[in-house]
Amino acid sequence: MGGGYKADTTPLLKALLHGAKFPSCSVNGVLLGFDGGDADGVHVVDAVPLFHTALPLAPHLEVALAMVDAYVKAQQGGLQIVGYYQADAAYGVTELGKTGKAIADRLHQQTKASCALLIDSKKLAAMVNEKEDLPFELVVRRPNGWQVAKVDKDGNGGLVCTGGSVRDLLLNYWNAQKHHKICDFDEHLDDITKDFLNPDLLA
Amino acid sequence: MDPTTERRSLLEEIENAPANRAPSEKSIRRYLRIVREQRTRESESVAKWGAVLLRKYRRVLPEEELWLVQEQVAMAALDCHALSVAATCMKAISRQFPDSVRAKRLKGMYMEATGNLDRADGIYDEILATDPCNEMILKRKATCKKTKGDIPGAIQALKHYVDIYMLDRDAWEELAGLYIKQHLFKQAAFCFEELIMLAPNSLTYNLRYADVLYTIGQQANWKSALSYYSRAVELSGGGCVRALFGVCCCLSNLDPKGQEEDEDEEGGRALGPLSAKALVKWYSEKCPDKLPYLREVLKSQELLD
Repeated sequence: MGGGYKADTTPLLKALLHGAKFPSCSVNGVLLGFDGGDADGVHVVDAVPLFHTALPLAPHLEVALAMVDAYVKAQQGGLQIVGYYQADAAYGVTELGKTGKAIADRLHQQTKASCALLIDSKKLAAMVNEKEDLPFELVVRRPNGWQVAKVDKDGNGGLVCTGGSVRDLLLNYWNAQKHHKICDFDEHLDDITKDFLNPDLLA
Repeated sequence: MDPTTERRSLLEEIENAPANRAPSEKSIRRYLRIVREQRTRESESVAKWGAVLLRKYRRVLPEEELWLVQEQVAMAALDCHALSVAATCMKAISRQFPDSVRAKRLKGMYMEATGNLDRADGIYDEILATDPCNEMILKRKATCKKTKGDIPGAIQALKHYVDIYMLDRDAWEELAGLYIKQHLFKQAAFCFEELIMLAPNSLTYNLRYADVLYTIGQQANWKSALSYYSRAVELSGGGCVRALFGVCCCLSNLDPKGQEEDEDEEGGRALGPLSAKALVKWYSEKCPDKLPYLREVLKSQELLD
């Protein structure tokens, strides 16, 4: 993927708040955005939190992906599912694992440019202590499989955040208890009045 | 008021107490009691308000309640990585109950939380040397392995535990979760079979068993999953959206050929459109903005026109 990957603060914050709501669980979700090809790269503009229980189980994942797919198609304007995010319950684990690879492969079949973002809990701790900018590992599809994107000495090749400081925004939202208000598809299945798209969460 | 509503209402009252006054001691005590009884995991709130209770109202608490609260706050603090709060409670408990296995378990958990897994293991092994079937400690051994990332080891430890304590539903659920994490779905299915034997009318167990069967895949398993999803629909009086979706997913995968002659199968196939209609009804009433997306999903499963 020649054009690189950039993300607004909204999807990154939604992914982090999802993890913050369920700190003892592994969580996952999908990333929505636009594929600008080799010229402009992939621009991630939103995230949809999916599950915090039993990530490898199939039936509700299928329903979730189909619902999100229907949603993006209804938006028109070229919005697509452009990636997958995951945070492992165990501290310091940053690997896609079997489940992550299976889901990322499935999304890659539809969108060749799709990527995966792993929330790195060690980088998250460092970010809170102002020693890291972003707590994510960008994983991309290469001929050999999913691999961490290589960042060169000028800092190119990794994920670029287009907006303000993710750290400052996250801490503000944490203090405002936004992590208690975010809803994922798992919760939606238990109470369909809960909106997994979280349209006004960060408004 | 049911306990869940009362718990939420108490927490709201506690959090909205006037800025210049501590929240009511009775409310915090009642809140912590309900959390203990319901065994919910609200560690941030328990650690925060439990610490306030212990700091300001310690002398008011009867002896037994004091130590229950100390233990509860310690565990909640460990969950939130509020290590100094946890250490304070843990030291108080150890001084009061120097020979208690429960106090030693708490110390082991503190070691786990601080990443000293070998020291935690050492504490647990010391207890098991004289009490090899200690329930609490056998479970901590399994969690130590899980924290180290040794999921196969955690599975072995939990298997050993359920061989002894086969009625412990939490342990069977945890074991199922570990198998699912490793993609060992047939073994996870076995755990849910044990759970359903222990609690045949549990909506959660019937649902999860169906989910696992569906994930294993192939016609026989989708057929079985269908019957467990149907049971879940029945147990929930038709209101369980997970179960309704599960029925739709099964029927969209099941091979329609060769099924028509069997009366049961005909009845089974009718569940698809019925479940689809039920979902449309629920979404129309409670979530109309998502209804167009639901319709697309059901159309792709050929359960809606």
